[in-house]
Amino acid sequence: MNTATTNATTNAPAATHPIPAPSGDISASFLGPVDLTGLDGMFSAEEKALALRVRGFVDEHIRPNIGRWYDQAVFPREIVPELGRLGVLGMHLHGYGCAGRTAVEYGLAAQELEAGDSGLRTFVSVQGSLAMSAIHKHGSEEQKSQWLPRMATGEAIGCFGLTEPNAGSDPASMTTTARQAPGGDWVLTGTKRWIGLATLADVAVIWAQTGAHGDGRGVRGFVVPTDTPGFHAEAIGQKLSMRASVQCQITLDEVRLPAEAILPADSAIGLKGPFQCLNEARYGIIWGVMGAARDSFNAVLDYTMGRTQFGTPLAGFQLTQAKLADMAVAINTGYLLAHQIGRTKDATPASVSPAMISTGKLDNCRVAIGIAREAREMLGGNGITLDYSPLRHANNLESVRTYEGTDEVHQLTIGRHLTGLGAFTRTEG
Amino acid sequence: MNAEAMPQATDPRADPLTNPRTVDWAEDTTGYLESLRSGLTTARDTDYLLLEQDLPEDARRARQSVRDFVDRHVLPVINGYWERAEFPYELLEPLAATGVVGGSIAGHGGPGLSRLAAGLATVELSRGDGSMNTFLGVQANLSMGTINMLGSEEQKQRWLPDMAALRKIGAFALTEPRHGSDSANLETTARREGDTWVINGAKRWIGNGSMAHLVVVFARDEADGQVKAFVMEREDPRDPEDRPEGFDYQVIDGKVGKRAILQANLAFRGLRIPEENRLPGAEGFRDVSRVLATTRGGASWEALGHALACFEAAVTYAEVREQFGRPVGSNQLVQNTLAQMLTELTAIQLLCFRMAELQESGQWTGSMASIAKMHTAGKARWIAQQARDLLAGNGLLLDFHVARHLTDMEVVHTYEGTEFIQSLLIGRKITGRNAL
Repeated sequence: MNTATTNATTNAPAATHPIPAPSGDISASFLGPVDLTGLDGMFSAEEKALALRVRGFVDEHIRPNIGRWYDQAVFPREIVPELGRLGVLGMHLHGYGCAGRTAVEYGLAAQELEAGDSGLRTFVSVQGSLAMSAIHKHGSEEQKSQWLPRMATGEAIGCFGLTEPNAGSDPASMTTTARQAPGGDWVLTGTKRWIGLATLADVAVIWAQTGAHGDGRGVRGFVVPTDTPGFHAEAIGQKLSMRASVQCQITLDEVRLPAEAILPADSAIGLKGPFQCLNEARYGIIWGVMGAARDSFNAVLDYTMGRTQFGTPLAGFQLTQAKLADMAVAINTGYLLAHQIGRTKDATPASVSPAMISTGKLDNCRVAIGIAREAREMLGGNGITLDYSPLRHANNLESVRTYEGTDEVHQLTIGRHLTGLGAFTRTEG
Repeated sequence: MNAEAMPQATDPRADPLTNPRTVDWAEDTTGYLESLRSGLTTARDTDYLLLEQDLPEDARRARQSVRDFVDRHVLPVINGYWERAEFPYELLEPLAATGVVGGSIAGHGGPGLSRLAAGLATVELSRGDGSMNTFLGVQANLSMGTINMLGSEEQKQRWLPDMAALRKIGAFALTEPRHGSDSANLETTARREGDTWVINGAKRWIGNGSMAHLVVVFARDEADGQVKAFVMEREDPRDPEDRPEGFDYQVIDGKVGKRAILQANLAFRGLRIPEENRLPGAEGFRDVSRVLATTRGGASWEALGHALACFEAAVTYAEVREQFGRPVGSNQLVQNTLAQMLTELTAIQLLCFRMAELQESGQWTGSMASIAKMHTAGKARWIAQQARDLLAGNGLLLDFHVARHLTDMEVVHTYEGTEFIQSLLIGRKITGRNAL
């Protein structure tokens, strides 16, 4: 290995790119035994150090407790300031107390968090990519100063209200309205559903029809302190997925807000406002789910090496090895996909199209859930307990695969890009 | 056969150091390949759900007679015809002698087989070769079937006995270059002039189209806009001079599946067909649909035949082929594949047998046919793919049969309605909404 590295260094022209050339040494990859393709070499020492720091946090704060939280369906509120101290809340945003990290660093953090639990990574996504990024992208100076520093430390929790009971994949059909009263106040009325953390949140970014057009073009965003009269949030109970995370229904009953509660930027006029935030969150998922897949793989590799049946470690069976190989190959390609999109996002953010994001979200989610399910199966009966992570990951990924766009929504996004033809709606035949 | 029973001690290769010159290595290779290949078309146990025990005598007879035909006449020659993309005329006589041509058509030379018997005849034929099965499907189910259903008594007497005896070959000209899945919108026209009809238009993918004595042509009557059926006759299609005026054809070459059946593009430029050759039962596209409805299910039986052939070849190969000192069938990965192939194969069998029952009792519907076609074609192709994989490099060779079945299965996967079309028909049934 060392020889290969030396040769590469001597023969190749001096690298100008900060990312080291792949060394080919995968024996000590920071991603562990699953790294078959020198993924380790694609990341700088700083990037890997950040990932390992987040992993240390996950090992210390999440792993020992996640089974219990999941079992009892508890979101550990107390962990939020810890995550703030770790520096992962709004970490890709600049200024206002945010860490100003790169997209790749954000991705690496996401996959480490999701190796712990999708619910925890989801919290970080909702806080940073949805609520904070909405305010950061579209908010006024006052809104940013008021909320972002407190959200970055975890002192304040944010949520993001786009989805409604009858408007999921089709947010243009939302019926929540914002009417401007004489004097300029806004009055919000409607229902939002599947809103992460709304019962714990201090502030909600709520998207509503301003009535200007009666379709997606009139959608605007509002910064709503959750103690505003008329704001009610209720947790959705009896979930079988992401149990260590809270999703809520929000009722907005004549919620009266001052005129300046609206997100004023032109970028927030119409559905492109929330969609820009969704693209941020979707980007995090592309990385995050690979963490869940990797953790499932590690669990099953460990298990099959240790468990003996018919006088042979399970890992000695052909069927086991074939599965391990397929899982590892899929995880490697998943990381390569995430890395490619991440580096592109850092180098030329404008070239990251919705179709590119959809490509990553679609494939990495379905690959990850397949791996988690396969891993569960390979753990036999033991795999159905919370002592092992794969079934928890698989169940969590049911949510992740659905939220931020189902497979079909992403297929149609990609299809629209390829064909120029929108197929989201069609005239009844 | 198991590994211990192999005659290791007499193998001349057992000790190449002490016995280096006793082996002719070229001969050894030939012999070895022959040993791998020889049993691939042998029937294996595939009756895991005991369907066999309930099989009526007529179905057993039909199956046996086609199986004998396939073993004796088809398998020894078919690979050559397939490779050369030639139709095996030499097989017509022994095929007619099986007594299954005409399938469920009773009278006028048709054997009046039960649906199950006709289905098993299809299975056996496609288990041998898909091109021959398509030939028979075009001949009997489509061409004879149309005349039988839409022709007059006089027309049936005139044409069907010769067709059942394979003295006359038939073709069914419905599909057009621009109208495949939506053949209801066909553009070929028919204009009546006194006692003759003048046909103009083009047809595509017409099986037997270049070599048929009788071509059933569907065309839209210019007077009333309805689709009608006409029988174009040729005396000796194998004579290149014998082309009715206004009729031209071009055999579609370069096919990679079903190479031993010829499909042709047909062109009609003012072709004249006498009124007596118009099938009076065809009064609109609805009547075409009635004919097609009777043939639905044929592709499912055919898929079963291909799947059987591939499964049987894979099992035999896994027994005979050794690597790492043991039959490849000793490997977990191979057994897993064989087990999955068998479970899918068994499901295909059940669907087909149930189809025969429902067809017999008149309860078979278009939606059922779509479910059967979609499932059987998809799974049979998958089985063929697994078999091809399992035979590795040898699986690429015609001599080893499975590649032919695999590429033939590609054709089956498309015709009688693609997977997409079937899924949308099923989807329409489920939701009540048309997404086509």
